[in-house]
Amino acid sequence: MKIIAKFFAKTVRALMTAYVYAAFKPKVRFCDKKRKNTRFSEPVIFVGNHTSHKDGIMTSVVFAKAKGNIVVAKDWYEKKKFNWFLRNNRCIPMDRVGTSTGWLKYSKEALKKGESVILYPEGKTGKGEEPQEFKSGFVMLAIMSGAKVVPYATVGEYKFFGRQKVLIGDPVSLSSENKALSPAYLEKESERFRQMVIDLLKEIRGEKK
Amino acid sequence: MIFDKLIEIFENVIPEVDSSEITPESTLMEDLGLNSLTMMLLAVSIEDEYGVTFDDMQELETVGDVVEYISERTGEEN
Repeated sequence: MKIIAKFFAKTVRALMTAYVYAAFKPKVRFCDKKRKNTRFSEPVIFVGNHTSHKDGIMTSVVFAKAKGNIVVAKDWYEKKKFNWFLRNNRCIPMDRVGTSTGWLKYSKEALKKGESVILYPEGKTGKGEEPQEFKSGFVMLAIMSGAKVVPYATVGEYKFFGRQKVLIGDPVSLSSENKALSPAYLEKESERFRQMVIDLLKEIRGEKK
Repeated sequence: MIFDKLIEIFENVIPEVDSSEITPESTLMEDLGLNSLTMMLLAVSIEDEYGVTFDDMQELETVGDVVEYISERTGEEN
């Protein structure tokens, strides 16, 4: 039964990949011009802006080579129509309201296995020019796991025959350097990465001088 | 003692609160002013120290509840 479920999940994933490339035609660029794909030498944590629920399928396809596990809001994860697919496609549920630390545990396990983690630190979709405040969960995960954080930005409308542009930054190593994790440190680092994503957005839009 | 260790953790998580005033009866949100970020940080710090994971810390109201929660799962005296 498990094998059938796995096979079915793989098939759906292949169809989803085909759909993303046909419908959204993601154009992926890297700040590091020598980089050819999203397979980094070690598992990383991807953080970027979140403008649509379709970011989930788009980023899972774009970061497929890095074996990206998407951290999904628990309320979406538990929806009947999505649950089976999300359970079988490298998704980690996160309780946005409570303070369950389960997602941290599963994310650390994924990184340990050599898989990457994709997070939308805004916690919800936003349509503004700039991303909303970044929550600090990814900073905690980076410190606790030692994994590097890769900022990225995505621009474009999710419409059929539209075009998504994705710009991926360089991996950044975080270190709390002998000081324990504090709220001030977490907030400062979260904002630093939000600024990095803003810079990437400006670069994609051609606003950066 | 779990309580003493917890005080050390609180000193890092909520440095603005005078730790000498924290008692087992202190409520996490009302008395100590923990918010979602500091609550998560507290959970992570405890997990790091004791290997105890939390399903939802918001079910724990007071410092004493947290001490008891850790004690039940580690067998350590509170």
